[in-house]
Amino acid sequence: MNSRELGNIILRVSLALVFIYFGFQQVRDPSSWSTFVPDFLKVSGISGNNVVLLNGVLELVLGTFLIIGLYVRFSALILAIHLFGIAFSIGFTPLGVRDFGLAFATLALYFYGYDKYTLDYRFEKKIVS
Amino acid sequence: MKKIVLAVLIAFLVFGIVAFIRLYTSTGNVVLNNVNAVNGGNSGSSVNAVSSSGRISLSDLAKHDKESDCWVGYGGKVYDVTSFLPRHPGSAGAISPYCGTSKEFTDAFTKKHGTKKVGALMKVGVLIGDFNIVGTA
Repeated sequence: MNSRELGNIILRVSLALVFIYFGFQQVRDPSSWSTFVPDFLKVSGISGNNVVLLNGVLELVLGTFLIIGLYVRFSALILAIHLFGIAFSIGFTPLGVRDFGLAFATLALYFYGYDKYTLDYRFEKKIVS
Repeated sequence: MKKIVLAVLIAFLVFGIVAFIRLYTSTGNVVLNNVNAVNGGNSGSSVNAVSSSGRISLSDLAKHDKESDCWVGYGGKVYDVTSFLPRHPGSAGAISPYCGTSKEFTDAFTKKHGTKKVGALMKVGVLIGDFNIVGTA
Protein backbone atom coordinates (compact mmCIF):
# COMPACT_ATOMS: atom_id res chain seq x y z
CA MET A 1 0.00 0.00 0.00
CA ASN A 2 1.51 3.33 -1.01
CA SER A 3 1.05 6.61 0.82
CA ARG A 4 -1.55 7.87 -1.68
CA GLU A 5 -3.72 4.81 -1.09
CA LEU A 6 -3.24 5.12 2.65
CA GLY A 7 -4.27 8.79 2.51
CA ASN A 8 -7.40 7.90 0.58
CA ILE A 9 -8.36 5.19 3.10
CA ILE A 10 -7.73 7.46 6.08
CA LEU A 11 -9.83 10.22 4.49
CA ARG A 12 -12.69 7.85 3.66
CA VAL A 13 -12.79 5.99 6.97
CA SER A 14 -12.31 9.04 9.19
CA LEU A 15 -15.05 10.99 7.41
CA ALA A 16 -17.32 7.95 7.57
CA LEU A 17 -16.78 7.69 11.32
CA VAL A 18 -17.59 11.38 11.74
CA PHE A 19 -20.87 11.02 9.84
CA ILE A 20 -21.80 7.79 11.65
CA TYR A 21 -21.05 9.38 15.03
CA PHE A 22 -23.15 12.48 14.36
CA GLY A 23 -25.88 10.43 12.67
CA PHE A 24 -26.09 8.17 15.71
CA GLN A 25 -26.25 11.15 18.08
CA GLN A 26 -29.08 12.65 16.03
CA VAL A 27 -31.25 9.52 15.96
CA ARG A 28 -30.55 8.83 19.65
CA ASP A 29 -31.72 12.25 20.83
CA PRO A 30 -33.20 14.43 18.04
CA SER A 31 -34.52 17.07 20.44
CA SER A 32 -30.98 18.09 21.36
CA TRP A 33 -30.29 18.95 17.73
CA SER A 34 -33.59 20.51 16.68
CA THR A 35 -32.22 23.90 17.78
CA PHE A 36 -30.04 23.87 14.70
CA VAL A 37 -32.76 23.11 12.16
CA PRO A 38 -33.26 26.19 9.98
CA ASP A 39 -36.72 27.72 10.16
CA PHE A 40 -37.40 27.23 6.45
CA LEU A 41 -37.25 23.44 6.95
CA LYS A 42 -39.87 23.58 9.70
CA VAL A 43 -42.55 25.36 7.67
CA SER A 44 -43.14 22.32 5.49
CA GLY A 45 -45.13 20.72 8.30
CA ILE A 46 -42.34 18.43 9.43
CA SER A 47 -41.27 19.00 13.01
CA GLY A 48 -37.70 19.91 13.86
CA ASN A 49 -37.24 16.55 15.57
CA ASN A 50 -38.29 14.65 12.44
CA VAL A 51 -35.96 16.73 10.27
CA VAL A 52 -33.10 15.81 12.61
CA LEU A 53 -34.17 12.16 12.57
CA LEU A 54 -34.24 12.04 8.76
CA ASN A 55 -30.90 13.83 8.63
CA GLY A 56 -29.44 11.34 11.12
CA VAL A 57 -30.64 8.36 9.08
CA LEU A 58 -29.18 9.90 5.90
CA GLU A 59 -25.82 10.42 7.59
CA LEU A 60 -25.85 6.89 9.05
CA VAL A 61 -26.68 5.24 5.71
CA LEU A 62 -24.20 7.25 3.66
CA GLY A 63 -21.57 7.00 6.40
CA THR A 64 -21.98 3.22 6.34
CA PHE A 65 -21.64 3.26 2.54
CA LEU A 66 -18.40 5.23 2.89
CA ILE A 67 -16.87 2.93 5.49
CA ILE A 68 -17.56 -0.24 3.48
CA GLY A 69 -16.78 1.52 0.21
CA LEU A 70 -20.12 1.22 -1.54
CA TYR A 71 -21.07 4.05 -3.93
CA VAL A 72 -18.19 6.06 -2.48
CA ARG A 73 -18.31 8.92 -4.99
CA PHE A 74 -22.10 9.25 -4.87
CA SER A 75 -22.17 9.15 -1.06
CA ALA A 76 -19.32 11.65 -0.76
CA LEU A 77 -21.00 14.05 -3.19
CA ILE A 78 -24.35 13.95 -1.37
CA LEU A 79 -22.69 14.39 2.02
CA ALA A 80 -20.51 17.24 0.73
CA ILE A 81 -23.52 19.12 -0.68
CA HIS A 82 -25.37 18.44 2.56
CA LEU A 83 -22.48 19.80 4.65
CA PHE A 84 -22.08 22.88 2.47
CA GLY A 85 -25.78 23.56 3.07
CA ILE A 86 -25.32 23.24 6.83
CA ALA A 87 -22.17 25.39 6.80
CA PHE A 88 -23.89 28.20 4.88
CA SER A 89 -26.96 27.88 7.12
CA ILE A 90 -24.88 28.24 10.28
CA GLY A 91 -22.83 31.08 8.86
CA PHE A 92 -19.40 32.40 9.78
CA THR A 93 -19.10 30.88 13.26
CA PRO A 94 -16.67 28.29 14.68
CA LEU A 95 -19.27 25.60 13.95
CA GLY A 96 -19.82 26.87 10.42
CA VAL A 97 -16.10 26.99 9.67
CA ARG A 98 -15.67 23.44 11.00
CA ASP A 99 -18.47 22.14 8.77
CA PHE A 100 -17.08 24.09 5.85
CA GLY A 101 -13.73 22.30 6.29
CA LEU A 102 -15.46 18.93 6.59
CA ALA A 103 -17.47 19.69 3.47
CA PHE A 104 -14.30 20.35 1.46
CA ALA A 105 -12.69 17.17 2.84
CA THR A 106 -15.78 15.22 1.74
CA LEU A 107 -15.63 16.90 -1.66
CA ALA A 108 -11.97 15.83 -1.91
CA LEU A 109 -13.09 12.25 -1.27
CA TYR A 110 -15.58 12.60 -4.13
CA PHE A 111 -12.75 13.60 -6.47
CA TYR A 112 -10.44 10.86 -5.13
CA GLY A 113 -13.07 8.20 -5.72
CA TYR A 114 -12.81 4.69 -4.36
CA ASP A 115 -9.61 2.89 -3.35
CA LYS A 116 -8.60 -0.77 -3.57
CA TYR A 117 -10.10 -1.57 -0.21
CA THR A 118 -13.70 -0.80 -1.09
CA LEU A 119 -16.64 -2.81 -2.34
CA ASP A 120 -16.79 -0.49 -5.34
CA TYR A 121 -13.36 -1.75 -6.37
CA ARG A 122 -14.35 -5.35 -5.86
CA PHE A 123 -17.50 -4.90 -7.92
CA GLU A 124 -15.51 -3.10 -10.63
CA LYS A 125 -12.99 -5.95 -10.80
CA LYS A 126 -15.81 -8.51 -10.61
CA ILE A 127 -14.29 -9.94 -7.42
CA VAL A 128 -17.80 -9.85 -5.97
CA SER A 129 -20.35 -11.43 -8.24
CA MET B 1 -25.18 -10.04 -5.68
CA LYS B 2 -25.90 -6.82 -7.49
CA LYS B 3 -24.43 -3.63 -6.10
CA ILE B 4 -27.75 -1.82 -5.83
CA VAL B 5 -29.34 -4.76 -3.99
CA LEU B 6 -26.52 -4.72 -1.45
CA ALA B 7 -26.97 -0.96 -1.00
CA VAL B 8 -30.71 -1.34 -0.39
CA LEU B 9 -30.11 -4.18 2.08
CA ILE B 10 -27.61 -2.08 4.02
CA ALA B 11 -29.98 0.90 4.02
CA PHE B 12 -32.76 -1.32 5.43
CA LEU B 13 -30.36 -2.66 8.04
CA VAL B 14 -29.52 0.89 9.14
CA PHE B 15 -33.25 1.77 9.22
CA GLY B 16 -33.83 -1.28 11.42
CA ILE B 17 -31.07 -0.27 13.81
CA VAL B 18 -32.43 3.29 13.97
CA ALA B 19 -35.95 1.99 14.64
CA PHE B 20 -34.57 -0.16 17.46
CA ILE B 21 -32.67 2.80 18.93
CA ARG B 22 -35.78 5.01 18.76
CA LEU B 23 -37.91 2.29 20.39
CA TYR B 24 -35.30 1.75 23.09
CA THR B 25 -34.83 5.46 23.88
CA SER B 26 -38.57 6.21 23.85
CA THR B 27 -39.06 3.41 26.42
CA GLY B 28 -36.37 5.08 28.50
CA ASN B 29 -38.16 8.42 28.24
CA VAL B 30 -41.40 6.92 29.51
CA VAL B 31 -39.58 5.65 32.59
CA LEU B 32 -37.88 9.03 33.05
CA ASN B 33 -41.17 10.91 32.68
CA ASN B 34 -42.78 8.67 35.30
CA VAL B 35 -39.91 9.35 37.69
CA ASN B 36 -40.26 13.08 37.04
CA ALA B 37 -44.01 12.90 37.59
CA VAL B 38 -43.44 11.22 40.94
CA ASN B 39 -40.94 13.93 41.77
CA GLY B 40 -43.44 16.64 40.94
CA GLY B 41 -41.97 17.40 37.55
CA ASN B 42 -38.50 18.05 38.84
CA SER B 43 -35.51 16.03 37.78
CA GLY B 44 -33.33 13.81 39.91
CA SER B 45 -31.04 15.50 42.40
CA SER B 46 -32.48 18.93 41.63
CA VAL B 47 -35.66 18.15 43.55
CA ASN B 48 -34.35 19.07 46.94
CA ALA B 49 -32.57 22.16 45.64
CA VAL B 50 -35.81 23.94 44.70
CA SER B 51 -37.64 25.73 47.45
CA SER B 52 -41.22 24.75 48.23
CA SER B 53 -42.42 28.12 46.92
CA GLY B 54 -40.86 27.24 43.59
CA ARG B 55 -38.84 30.42 43.55
CA ILE B 56 -35.13 30.37 42.94
CA SER B 57 -33.05 33.34 43.96
CA LEU B 58 -30.10 34.49 41.90
CA SER B 59 -27.79 33.39 44.70
CA ASP B 60 -29.31 29.88 44.56
CA LEU B 61 -28.95 29.91 40.79
CA ALA B 62 -25.31 30.95 41.14
CA LYS B 63 -24.58 27.82 43.18
CA HIS B 64 -25.16 25.66 40.10
CA ASP B 65 -22.18 27.00 38.21
CA LYS B 66 -20.32 23.81 37.34
CA GLU B 67 -20.40 21.59 34.27
CA SER B 68 -21.53 18.74 36.49
CA ASP B 69 -24.38 20.88 37.84
CA CYS B 70 -25.31 23.62 35.42
CA TRP B 71 -28.42 25.78 35.75
CA VAL B 72 -29.11 28.82 33.65
CA GLY B 73 -31.72 31.53 33.83
CA TYR B 74 -33.67 32.74 30.82
CA GLY B 75 -36.85 34.73 30.55
CA GLY B 76 -37.67 34.41 34.23
CA LYS B 77 -37.27 30.65 34.20
CA VAL B 78 -34.49 28.38 35.32
CA TYR B 79 -33.26 25.50 33.20
CA ASP B 80 -31.09 22.55 34.13
CA VAL B 81 -28.85 22.05 31.09
CA THR B 82 -26.36 19.68 32.76
CA SER B 83 -27.33 16.66 30.69
CA PHE B 84 -27.26 18.70 27.48
CA LEU B 85 -23.74 20.11 27.96
CA PRO B 86 -21.81 17.09 26.62
CA ARG B 87 -24.13 16.93 23.60
CA HIS B 88 -23.91 20.59 22.62
CA PRO B 89 -22.51 20.61 19.07
CA GLY B 90 -20.48 23.70 19.89
CA SER B 91 -18.90 21.81 22.84
CA ALA B 92 -19.75 22.07 26.52
CA GLY B 93 -17.27 24.92 26.80
CA ALA B 94 -19.63 27.16 24.85
CA ILE B 95 -22.20 27.04 27.67
CA SER B 96 -20.22 26.18 30.82
CA PRO B 97 -18.91 29.75 31.39
CA TYR B 98 -22.55 30.83 31.79
CA CYS B 99 -23.58 28.12 34.28
CA GLY B 100 -25.24 29.72 37.29
CA THR B 101 -25.99 32.98 35.49
CA SER B 102 -29.08 34.60 34.07
CA LYS B 103 -28.15 37.88 32.39
CA GLU B 104 -24.84 36.58 31.04
CA PHE B 105 -26.45 33.42 29.68
CA THR B 106 -29.35 35.36 28.18
CA ASP B 107 -26.98 37.78 26.42
CA ALA B 108 -24.78 34.97 25.07
CA PHE B 109 -27.71 32.81 24.00
CA THR B 110 -29.50 35.66 22.25
CA LYS B 111 -26.29 36.75 20.52
CA LYS B 112 -25.63 33.21 19.28
CA HIS B 113 -29.11 31.93 18.48
CA GLY B 114 -31.30 35.05 18.35
CA THR B 115 -34.69 35.45 19.92
CA LYS B 116 -36.32 32.94 17.55
CA LYS B 117 -34.58 30.08 19.30
CA VAL B 118 -36.18 30.73 22.67
CA GLY B 119 -38.55 27.78 22.21
CA ALA B 120 -35.61 25.54 21.46
CA LEU B 121 -34.08 26.30 24.85
CA MET B 122 -36.82 24.29 26.51
CA LYS B 123 -36.12 21.37 24.24
CA VAL B 124 -32.43 21.14 24.98
CA GLY B 125 -32.60 21.37 28.73
CA VAL B 126 -34.70 19.89 31.47
CA LEU B 127 -37.14 22.47 32.70
CA ILE B 128 -36.94 22.59 36.44
CA GLY B 129 -40.13 24.54 36.74
CA ASP B 130 -41.96 27.69 35.86
CA PHE B 131 -40.21 29.59 38.62
CA ASN B 132 -39.75 33.29 38.89
CA ILE B 133 -36.25 34.45 39.55
CA VAL B 134 -36.14 36.61 42.64
CA GLY B 135 -34.45 39.92 41.94
CA THR B 136 -33.12 41.15 38.67
CA ALA B 137 -30.31 39.57 36.74
